[in-house]
Amino acid sequence: MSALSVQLRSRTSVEPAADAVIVRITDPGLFHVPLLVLSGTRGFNLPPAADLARLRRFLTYGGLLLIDDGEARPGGAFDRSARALVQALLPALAPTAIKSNHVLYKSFYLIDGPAGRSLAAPALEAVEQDGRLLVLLSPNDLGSALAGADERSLRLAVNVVLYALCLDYKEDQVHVPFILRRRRWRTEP
Amino acid sequence: MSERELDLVFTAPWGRAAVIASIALALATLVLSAWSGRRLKVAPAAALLALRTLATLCALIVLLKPAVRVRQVRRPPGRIAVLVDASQSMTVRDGEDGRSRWQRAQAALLAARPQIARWRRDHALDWFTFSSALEPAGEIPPGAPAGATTLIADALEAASARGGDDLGGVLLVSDGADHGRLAARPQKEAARLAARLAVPVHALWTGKRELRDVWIAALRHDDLAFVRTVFTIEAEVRAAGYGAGEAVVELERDGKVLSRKSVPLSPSGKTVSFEVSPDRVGDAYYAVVVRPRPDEAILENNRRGFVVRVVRDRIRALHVCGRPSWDERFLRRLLKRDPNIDLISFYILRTVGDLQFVNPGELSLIPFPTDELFEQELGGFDLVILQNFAHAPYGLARHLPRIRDWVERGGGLAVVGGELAFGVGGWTGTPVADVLPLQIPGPGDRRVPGEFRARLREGAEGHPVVRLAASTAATRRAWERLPMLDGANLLGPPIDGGTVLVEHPTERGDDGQPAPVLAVREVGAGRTLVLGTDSAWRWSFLDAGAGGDGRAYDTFWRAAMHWLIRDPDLEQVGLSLPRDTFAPGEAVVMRVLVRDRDFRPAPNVDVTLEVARLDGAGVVPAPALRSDSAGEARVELPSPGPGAFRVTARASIAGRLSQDTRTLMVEPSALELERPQARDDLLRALAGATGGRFLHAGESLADLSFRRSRRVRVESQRDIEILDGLPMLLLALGALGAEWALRRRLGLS
Repeated sequence: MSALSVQLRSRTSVEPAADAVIVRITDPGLFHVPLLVLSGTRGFNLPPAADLARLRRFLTYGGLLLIDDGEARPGGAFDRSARALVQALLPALAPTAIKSNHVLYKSFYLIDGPAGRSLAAPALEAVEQDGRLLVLLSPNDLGSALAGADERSLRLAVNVVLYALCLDYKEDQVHVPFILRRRRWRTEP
Repeated sequence: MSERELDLVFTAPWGRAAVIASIALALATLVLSAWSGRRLKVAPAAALLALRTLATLCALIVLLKPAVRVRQVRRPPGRIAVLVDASQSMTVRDGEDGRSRWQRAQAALLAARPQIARWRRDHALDWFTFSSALEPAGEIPPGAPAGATTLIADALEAASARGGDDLGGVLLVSDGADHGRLAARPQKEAARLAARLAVPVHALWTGKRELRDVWIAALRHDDLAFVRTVFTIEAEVRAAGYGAGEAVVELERDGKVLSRKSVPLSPSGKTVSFEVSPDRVGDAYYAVVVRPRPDEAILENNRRGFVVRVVRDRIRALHVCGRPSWDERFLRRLLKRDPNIDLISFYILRTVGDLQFVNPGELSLIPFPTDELFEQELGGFDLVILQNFAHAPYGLARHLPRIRDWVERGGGLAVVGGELAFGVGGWTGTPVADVLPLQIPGPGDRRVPGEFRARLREGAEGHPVVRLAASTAATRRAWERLPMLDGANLLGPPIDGGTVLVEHPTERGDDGQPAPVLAVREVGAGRTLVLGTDSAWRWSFLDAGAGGDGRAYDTFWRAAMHWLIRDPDLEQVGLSLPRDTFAPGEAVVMRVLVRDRDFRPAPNVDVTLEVARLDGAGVVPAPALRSDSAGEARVELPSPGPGAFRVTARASIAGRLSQDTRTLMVEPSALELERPQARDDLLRALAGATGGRFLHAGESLADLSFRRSRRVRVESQRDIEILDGLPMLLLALGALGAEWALRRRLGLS
């Protein structure tokens, strides 16, 4: 992930930490950074109920979990485990494919779809609540592609970070002049 | 003087029903008699009918005993009601003679004194003035007419009720500028009044048709408006006595001309509209003014003022952030989720120093619209949040004086820390720094790293911005439980009324005091806030991670925003008026409610009241007040005279000054001068329908006639029987005998 930090610092005004911090769900530092990345290449067991509750709290109070499938294999062991985790965390919310006009694809770069080491799946999936992404499922091994400095993947990763930091900012930014005119906000001379 | 009256009466002790039945029976008898003789020759039939009629008539006389009633009666003198119009329109000078309608009325009545004396021989005179109601008055009422409306029909009905049966007529002295039923339906209402009054109404018209005036005939506006939202004011301008031309109409706010338009002169009225957008909440005093023409009859109707209560529908917030961060992200989430906030945001996602590997067309970035935001649209915002923001890279320096002025005019500015803020951001010594609560050291980075728990400064727990719980004690406990912050900007001491609310627990400023973390200040009509950290988001997310609900962060920012925009609900002093417009001479009753830091009624608090004229002509003396046990102070201020006034109540509660401001105006009702034209047609209709006469002021009143009283007092009475009973009885028997004999002779049974 240090490659992403370097690119973020050089391409954007974001000041990321030099490297990612590895945390356990039980760590007090879990809530110190609201963007969490879960990556792997094999299946894993569901965490205990208390950990699930803590992670659920992380998500519902403002955190974002990016799950990157290092296998890049839909239906593979990691993918099944990840989906089981999402189901256990947010049973009422099923992941759905992100449409190409989602703000995630324009939070910094104007891009039109997923990226990664392979294109195993044609779309990112996400769990969304109240207009905010809680969980983002990347099926194409984004992490490996970042290490290889793949430009498309870097742009997608930059957009994910900018989305985590700015949410739907790019949804309303383009509307500034329109909103100002529509509201007829004017003051007396 | 008594009079003799004669009446035909029946003196028999039978009731009215018996009398009617007897007459009906007699008529039926005669009809049957005529029917039974239909086969006889004419002469015998007529003789029989005559005898039977005579017998029946005699029987009726015997039975009913008719008599002539002779009464000696006395009638009280009739009363003449003289009704003099005392409405404001009577002050209009509408003729070539230079006199007002009121002066014409007085002159006419003075000239008619001999005639009035003659009327007194047969009548009593009752003098009244009237406008909205009838008021008894002396003969030829003196004084200045100031009535707020003219209701002629109501006045006539009131005079009729007072005069009763004695009323013999009315002399109505008026310009006919009615605002009641008569003006609405002249003919119909005149006919109705004629039937109701049943006396002649003589009309003495004091008006002239050659009125030369331009006036505001109607004003349409909302009483409630939303801040920074356009609303429309419409004024109908009418003109009389002028040909073609234009009137210049101005809209003023607080004596300052906001807009000026021209409108063609028209007797039927032309509407001119203004669009305005009040820039702050509270009472706004507007006036529509028609510029006077040199020869106008009335100048008082050239101006109409009104007060609009300006409220906030939603908070218009501008959120500018120098760099995406978690602090920005949580504040954005709060702002976006609040349905009461309209948010415009601009975040710097890339600076000129960042590498560019792509065509700009592949980025979603647009230039920072500094001119649009800070030059054209700044006045449209209630709240500006500058978060971790450096102004220099964006050429904002030339806009900084405008931001300062916007604050002083009533804007709310929050400056939030971070590695780009304050001294690093180039804010030191700028016009914006002049209005912040703390000195901005620098230039250079003066941040201290490390976690710390922000500490409420002693005595600050009552301030609305840091109120996290209902009471001050609970607020202090809530602050002690907040998660640790991470890193702080070291800021200077407070300046010019800046108040430190939260401080660093260990760091000290250059003045040796604990380093301020959160401070606020009131500057002119606006307010500012400085938060010297970029980690306040931890109050939300870390609190949630520790099992809390994270609401303290939301509570803090909402309170801060509402304080910054001067939300009246956060003021501890509330001033209320029964209404915003008062009549001249009317006392103004005001009520002040004072609340303590926990927003409970605060007794025994001194309250100062300032009543300032909006035209800048000075201050009206107002008494000092003190709140009672219910936290209330009430004052009845003598009328401050015509004009518009800004009333401010101030109180210092536990060292914190709180105030509330309202606007009131004192002016006569505009109705009279909205329609000042004299109406002879109304008075003609009235006189015609009631049998009275219409006269111009100055014409002789000699030929006016009045009825006598319909009420009588009987001094003596006697009944004279028309015919004695016994002769009538004998005559009846004789007629019956003759009828019997005639029938025998004719061979009838």
